[in-house]
Amino acid sequence: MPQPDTLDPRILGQRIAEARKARGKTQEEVAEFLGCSRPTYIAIEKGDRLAKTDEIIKLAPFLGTKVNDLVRPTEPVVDLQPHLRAVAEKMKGTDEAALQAAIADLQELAEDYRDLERMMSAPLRFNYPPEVTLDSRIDAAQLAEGVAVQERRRLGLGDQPVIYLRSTLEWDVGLRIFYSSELPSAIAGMYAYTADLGCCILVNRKHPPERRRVSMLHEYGHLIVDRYKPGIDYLTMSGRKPANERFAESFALSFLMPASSVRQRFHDIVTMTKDFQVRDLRHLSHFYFVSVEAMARRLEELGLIPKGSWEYLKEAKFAPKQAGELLGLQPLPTSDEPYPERYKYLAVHAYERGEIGDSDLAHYLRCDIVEAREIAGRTLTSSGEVGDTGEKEQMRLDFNRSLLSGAN
Amino acid sequence: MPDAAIDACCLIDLLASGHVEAILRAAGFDWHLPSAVQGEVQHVRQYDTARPGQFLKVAVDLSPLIASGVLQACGPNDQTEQDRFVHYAAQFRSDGEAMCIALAEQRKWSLATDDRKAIRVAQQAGLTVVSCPVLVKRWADAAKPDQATLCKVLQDIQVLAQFKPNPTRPEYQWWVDELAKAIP
Repeated sequence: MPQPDTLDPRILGQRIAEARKARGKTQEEVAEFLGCSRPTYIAIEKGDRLAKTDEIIKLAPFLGTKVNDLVRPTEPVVDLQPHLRAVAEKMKGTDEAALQAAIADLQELAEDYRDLERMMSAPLRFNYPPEVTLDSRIDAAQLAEGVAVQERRRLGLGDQPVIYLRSTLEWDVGLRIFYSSELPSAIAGMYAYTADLGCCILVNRKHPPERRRVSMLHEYGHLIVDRYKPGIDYLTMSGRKPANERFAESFALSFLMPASSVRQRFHDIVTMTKDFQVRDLRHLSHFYFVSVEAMARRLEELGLIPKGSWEYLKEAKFAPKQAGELLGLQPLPTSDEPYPERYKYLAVHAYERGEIGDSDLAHYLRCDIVEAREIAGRTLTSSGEVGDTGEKEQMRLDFNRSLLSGAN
Repeated sequence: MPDAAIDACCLIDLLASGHVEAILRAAGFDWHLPSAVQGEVQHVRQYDTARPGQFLKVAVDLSPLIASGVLQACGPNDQTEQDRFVHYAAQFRSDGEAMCIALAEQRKWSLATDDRKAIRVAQQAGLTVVSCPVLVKRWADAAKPDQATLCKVLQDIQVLAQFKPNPTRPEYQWWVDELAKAIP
């Protein structure tokens, strides 16, 4: 157990420095707050001088953090926050404070995920696709279309819609997909790759589920085309987009709406009804779990409906939500949690094993203690089992029980 | 009276009972509320009378309990307490648990907690640990509420705080038996 005098000055210094930068404070401001000289404070950040416990306790609220966040003994992830922060600083006209808060969110979630994996000895299995190099002689969007087909094939997804997209990417590819409500509305998501954690994606939770699906695949496209380059993506980009952005955008839409599948569906509808109406467009967007705009533009791109169809519908004030209700379309399953499904299972498993307590669980699950207990109860209980009488039964799941023959 | 610190888990469970003040008074402790715990007890659940089966999240106001002296605010004062707080803060993602254990350890207090890990760490540190079921039972033994009231208290803790006693604890059987009495 670490004693205050055995805290690692280097780790503590790094954590204090990261907390300061995330809060937008200068070294002078913090030094003044602590009542010490700037060189003394710099020595703390560098790890040359160990902060005293009273200084740590005083600093935590000043930096908007908890004492634990500063003194937790695990190594901080050093190559995520600074790189994304550097990207954020170059973005003019965006709410920089909100962006910095979202980056800090991602950093904390990613570190918590890593700590849970270590605690449970359950490292994430990466199954990343090969990198693709862009060539100015080849159209990036067309290249992306082919890569999306290959990627679906590699993952055994065929060309049908992927409704549980987030968990598919998390479990089958090994992506770490987090959601944040801190991101400014104009930002769709961000991407970073670290040696320790692999690919980390942050998606804007404020956006509707259809948009989030595009955003997470867009960031996935960045993993394929510029893996080691962190980036922050706007919802819309004015002017001509660079090739890597065209690739990521086209990859996302092609993955969600594979050309072969869309053509087949479209032809089936036209063959059966001798027409393709707005209602069919709405049905199709629901089938692929994309926005009506994305569906219409994809059909336009594939030459199945005339160019400008979406613009026409937009001018006519077409309301997709109301149209869906009129057509009786059922809501599709969505995941709104800030952390991946696997992260939740690891946290609940750690709680069940007694590695963490109720308060820690609430921290990991980003909720209050009561809700954390409720989530744990739900996660550990299967209500979908049918008993001998044919009635649904609740079964408590014992995560620790081995199912291998010969095991106790 | 002996002293005890209370953590967020236990306080939330007692707040769900609807009889927090009476239970704390009947426990036979002078209660101390560490400052980090106060920040962690922000909301409790209440039944939404307008929507049966649904709950409302209601802000907690601990000031009446503090003003009446049932809870006394506290924090780490001297160097040793601060050192121990930081020591435990490295082990918990919640500063409240760390502060509770550090203060209880240094001031020779008992600790009221329902947090699984805090119970383990506090026992390793040689502290006397009490839990929500112990406190509710003491209140029930002392105040002798009618059966319906006691059952409602236990049910409310289970439903509103999502807390059930650990089957390995001695009070578990008492809790289950009292709840069973509510079933006709």
